[in-house]
Amino acid sequence: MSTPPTPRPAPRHPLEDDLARLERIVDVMWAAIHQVLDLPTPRRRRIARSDILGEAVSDQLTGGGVSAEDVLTEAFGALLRTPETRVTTTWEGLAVGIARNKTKGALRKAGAWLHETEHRPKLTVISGDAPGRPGPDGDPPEPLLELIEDPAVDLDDEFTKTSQQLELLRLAQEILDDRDRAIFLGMHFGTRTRQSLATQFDLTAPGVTHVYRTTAKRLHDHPRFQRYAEGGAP
Amino acid sequence: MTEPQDPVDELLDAYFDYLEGVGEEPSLDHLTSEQRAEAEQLISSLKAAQGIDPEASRPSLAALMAMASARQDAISVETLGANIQTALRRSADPRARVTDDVAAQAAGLASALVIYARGLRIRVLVVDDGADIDAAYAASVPSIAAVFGAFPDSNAVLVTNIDPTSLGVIIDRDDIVTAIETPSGRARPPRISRPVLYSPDACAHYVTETMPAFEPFEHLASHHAAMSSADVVDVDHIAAGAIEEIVVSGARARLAAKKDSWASLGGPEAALIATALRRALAGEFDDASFRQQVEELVDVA
Repeated sequence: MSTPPTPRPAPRHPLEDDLARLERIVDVMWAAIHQVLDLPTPRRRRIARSDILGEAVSDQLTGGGVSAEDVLTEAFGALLRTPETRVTTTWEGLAVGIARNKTKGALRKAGAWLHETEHRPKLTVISGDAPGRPGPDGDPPEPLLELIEDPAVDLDDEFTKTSQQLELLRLAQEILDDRDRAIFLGMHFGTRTRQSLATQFDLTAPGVTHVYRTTAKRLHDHPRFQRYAEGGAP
Repeated sequence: MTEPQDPVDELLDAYFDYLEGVGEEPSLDHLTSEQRAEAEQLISSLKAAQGIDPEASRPSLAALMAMASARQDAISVETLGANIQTALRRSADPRARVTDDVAAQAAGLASALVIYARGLRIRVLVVDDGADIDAAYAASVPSIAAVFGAFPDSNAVLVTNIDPTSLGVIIDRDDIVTAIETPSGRARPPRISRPVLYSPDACAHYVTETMPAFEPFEHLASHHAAMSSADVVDVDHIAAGAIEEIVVSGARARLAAKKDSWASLGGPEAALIATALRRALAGEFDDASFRQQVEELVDVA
């Protein structure tokens, strides 16, 4: 007696033939998702204020209620469903764009309860739909979420920058001692204040800054980081 | 005495103050070109690190591929069900619906969806993407038989793939058994008897061929409710027919009086009878009153 067919996987995606490359792409997608979701933390908010969002709106973005894992799953599925003929630049750049768009979509969906209903007007608490920085010619400001992904941004360049940061992270975990690693990671990724690190390691705040600087220079000069800086990958 | 701080250290301190919200963004103007290059590289790196969580561990590639595949399958079956429902509602039954086959799945059977249309039930068995439907059918006969066996109320099974072509075929109960073929008299294995089509079309054709398009019951009921008994019965025709029968019988009568009187009946009497019938159908009098009316008519005659 013949047996029923087992479900056959979808046609093989080109990236599935290079799993090391796919791992690197997913690493960057994961980081890109967090970059959008984590904007409201106080330290990053200042960077966002100056570089992305504009003075008036930097306090208004929230990443609450969105699962980074769910977004990554959805973005990863979308990447693998994209036919090769639709890739205009590289898979890496496309992956960054998909990750950001899916995160924006998830933020919008999570904030759907803010929209106007039959029974109440639109709520105006923290929302990604809040207006951003006005245009250079006095054009009306775009919604905040529209500013996260600037269409003019070179996504391949963004991919390289984020890959470099992930390599810095891996290097720090591999070659630094406990003190230097804690100071570099805490300061570089904004998870610690100088004062808390100074207290932990019996240093002054400027001393923490100096340790960060020398450690950062060591990592930036490392051959593995340099390969990324030159546009390659290990 | 405090040792003077290196200008790049000093600038970084000011920049961290700025990032932590306790100072303004520092200027690089006072730095030498070498110091400025180093400071710009560090600041650029800090900006690029924005939002990256060094402690967040992402799901493994294998887990992501499994989840993405499962999600894609779910989306595809759902989409196929929606397409079939739309096609059936448009061409066969406006009340057709397609639902998950929870009963089959609970029983460990392969049916993914149940289609309800014009009182028929069609269960849906999904096979490999892009598979040749004939080959897939041959391999799926035991699964199809199990579905028919477990659910005797199933009229047919749709064997379909869920790739963009969505090709499928309707399988009847007779298609899954070995049959003796005429005129050769040889036993033939199960085989497909219907055409392989776009699955929503295959379902629509099957439903249209198999089950007449009865008018909705509600429509008939409301139509009858709006009619009286007098509207349903052709009273004039009945009265004229009754009179004619009497005239014919009178022509055969042997008694001259009967022959003359019965044969003389005609239109006026038929009209009187029709009026009496209408009043009776409208409930204007009971049996006794009706008999009295008839006797009056006899007296008149």
